[in-house]
Amino acid sequence: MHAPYTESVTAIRSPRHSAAHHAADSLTLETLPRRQSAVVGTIEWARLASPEARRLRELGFDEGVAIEVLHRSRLGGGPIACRIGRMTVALRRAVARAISVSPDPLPAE
Amino acid sequence: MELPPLVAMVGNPNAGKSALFNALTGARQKVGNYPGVTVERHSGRLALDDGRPVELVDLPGAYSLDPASPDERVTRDVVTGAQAGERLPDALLVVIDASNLDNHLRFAMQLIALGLPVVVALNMVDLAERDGLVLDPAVLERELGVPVVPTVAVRRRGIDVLRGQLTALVGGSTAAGLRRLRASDGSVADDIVTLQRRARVVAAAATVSETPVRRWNHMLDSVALHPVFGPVLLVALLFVMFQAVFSWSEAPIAWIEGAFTAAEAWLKGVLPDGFVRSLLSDGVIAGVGAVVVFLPQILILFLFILVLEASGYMVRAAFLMDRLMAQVGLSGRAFIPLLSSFACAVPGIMATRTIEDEKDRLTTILIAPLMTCSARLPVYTIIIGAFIPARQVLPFVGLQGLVLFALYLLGIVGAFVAALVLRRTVTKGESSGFMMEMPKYQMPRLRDVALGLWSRTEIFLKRAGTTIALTTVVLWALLSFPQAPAGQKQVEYSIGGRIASGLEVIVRPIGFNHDIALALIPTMAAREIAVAAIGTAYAIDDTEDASGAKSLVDHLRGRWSLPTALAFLMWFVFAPQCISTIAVTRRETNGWRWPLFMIGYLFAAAYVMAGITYWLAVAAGL
Repeated sequence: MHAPYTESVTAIRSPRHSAAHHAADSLTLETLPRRQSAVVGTIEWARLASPEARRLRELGFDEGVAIEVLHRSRLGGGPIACRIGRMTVALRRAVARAISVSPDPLPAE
Repeated sequence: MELPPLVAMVGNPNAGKSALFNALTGARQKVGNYPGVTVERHSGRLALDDGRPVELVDLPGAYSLDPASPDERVTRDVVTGAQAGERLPDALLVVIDASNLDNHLRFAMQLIALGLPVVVALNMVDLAERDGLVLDPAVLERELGVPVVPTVAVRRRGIDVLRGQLTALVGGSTAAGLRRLRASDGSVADDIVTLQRRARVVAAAATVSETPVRRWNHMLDSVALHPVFGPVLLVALLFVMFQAVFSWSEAPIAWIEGAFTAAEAWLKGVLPDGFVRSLLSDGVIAGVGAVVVFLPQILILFLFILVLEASGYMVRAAFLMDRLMAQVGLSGRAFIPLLSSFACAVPGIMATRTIEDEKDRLTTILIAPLMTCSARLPVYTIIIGAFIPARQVLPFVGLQGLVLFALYLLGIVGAFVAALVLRRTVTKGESSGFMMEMPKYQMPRLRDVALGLWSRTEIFLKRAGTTIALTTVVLWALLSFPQAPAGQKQVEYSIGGRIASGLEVIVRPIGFNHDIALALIPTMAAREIAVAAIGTAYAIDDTEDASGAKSLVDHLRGRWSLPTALAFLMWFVFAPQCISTIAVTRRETNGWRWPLFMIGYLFAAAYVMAGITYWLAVAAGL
């Protein structure tokens, strides 16, 4: 079902990824619940195409930056809209999967 | 002649640069092109406080000096003095969005590091305050080491102070000594992360207070990007847009038609019958009139597109469309140029410049001509009017409207199939992904929209007055000479008629007759000429027809079969008959390879599809 999206980042299908995916602490931007404020953990730059990685940096993605998922189309693999710093950025799930996040201990309000 | 000092405006996309540019230069601006690239160069004159003129150039928005698209490359090259045909600026006016300091400051710091004199416009401070953000420009000035002026471009706040700073900046003994430029793509660009971190520290220091306000942006987005309501809203907007193109344009079209009819009548009153009158009335007025009539529809379409773009909705549409576009190997970004192509493929193809991935961009350019542009409307309208009965097939759904809708749909389906095939063959490659900043919603400014519409009108009328007028005159001449002897038909005996007879051999198998072969030749210049060309041919024919003048529709009904008419419609869905599109494709792809490929594959598709339509219709006994 996600074929058109995963095709672009073939590395995602690697065993390393599926292992990480099942680990308990592996919350990524893709799986972060909507409206849950969080901070960016590590970003697996190596899994991203270099123009993508560069644009991600330019848009301010970096360790420790506040992030929140605003919208995500529930019907299959559409893109995700998230707030990063004071910007809203749309990105595909394959990229979101490479960004690990940890939920903010404090509630959003 | 001594040139005035050059100031370049530079900043992130969505920093409000264009609004500030408009506020600073007013109407004294000019749109040109950088040599070798199709990036538009917006420049304008500005009088400083001491009366000296300054040339202000508005550079394309960029995120850094490490270019990802042709647009961003121009920005980098101008500020480093490497752009052909542009001087090194005497100063930079860096524009940053006050409510997005973290990100915009990073680029500002990168620009300041270049060593040119800089003034920073802290733009859209009103929107930042609305978001509960209070900033201290003095802290920014201290941290950045350059003057910082708070502005609200759309309300002209801070403009005078900004002009004062510019006066000081390019003052008499300008910065000749300051030009120690750094390598553009060296250490600075590589270290985006470090700069970004510093920018965040500076932004935090400059923030006096920050109260979380429930932003109305988020509320709008929760509807616009909703998994269910979002797509419904998008479809509704597109429906209203296409509906408006037809219903709002009725009255203005009638006025234009009236004006051209009056001009023709006036001409017939003042000129004696003969060569000059025929040239002016059958050639120029009939030809140009047939085209100018579509100006209202084109402007309505552009009005919607400009408003959707200026409001920030267009990026939301791209977000919603991304999944669908991904199915054929494109991204949501391609949706914006493709939607513009419904008005005209030329601005559509130019809008592909924001697509970073080269193959994505090329695919989008190659399929853009399949979107039903407004120039096809005259052809569709007249053929449908003549051959498709005005019958209701369902409540509120007429057969004519249904056929028109099917033609639009066919173009879209054709484009998707073409993209799918192209992405697996000639533009094969990794999917480029989709990553876009979603700008804040904004009320479109009447002035900016009006300026955009005005420049479209200018381009269109210039084209109608030159290319189209010239083509119809040439066609008229080809059809009028040499004079046919008695017993021979003028449209067949004339030079144009003989060329058409040659072409007829090729198009006969797909059901096209001599008239269509004749019309196809001048139509290479622009599709809408087809109507004018057939009209001209029949007008010339009429003069020797004893039965007197008949309407174009009567002529068509008398001479074309229904299968021929359907094949003709199908031809126009695919055929790349537009000089401007071919020219812009050549410019955008730097050579003849891709435009020739585009012409080839689209003509092949047109021929095959028209042929299939013709033979199916004949077999069905239509």
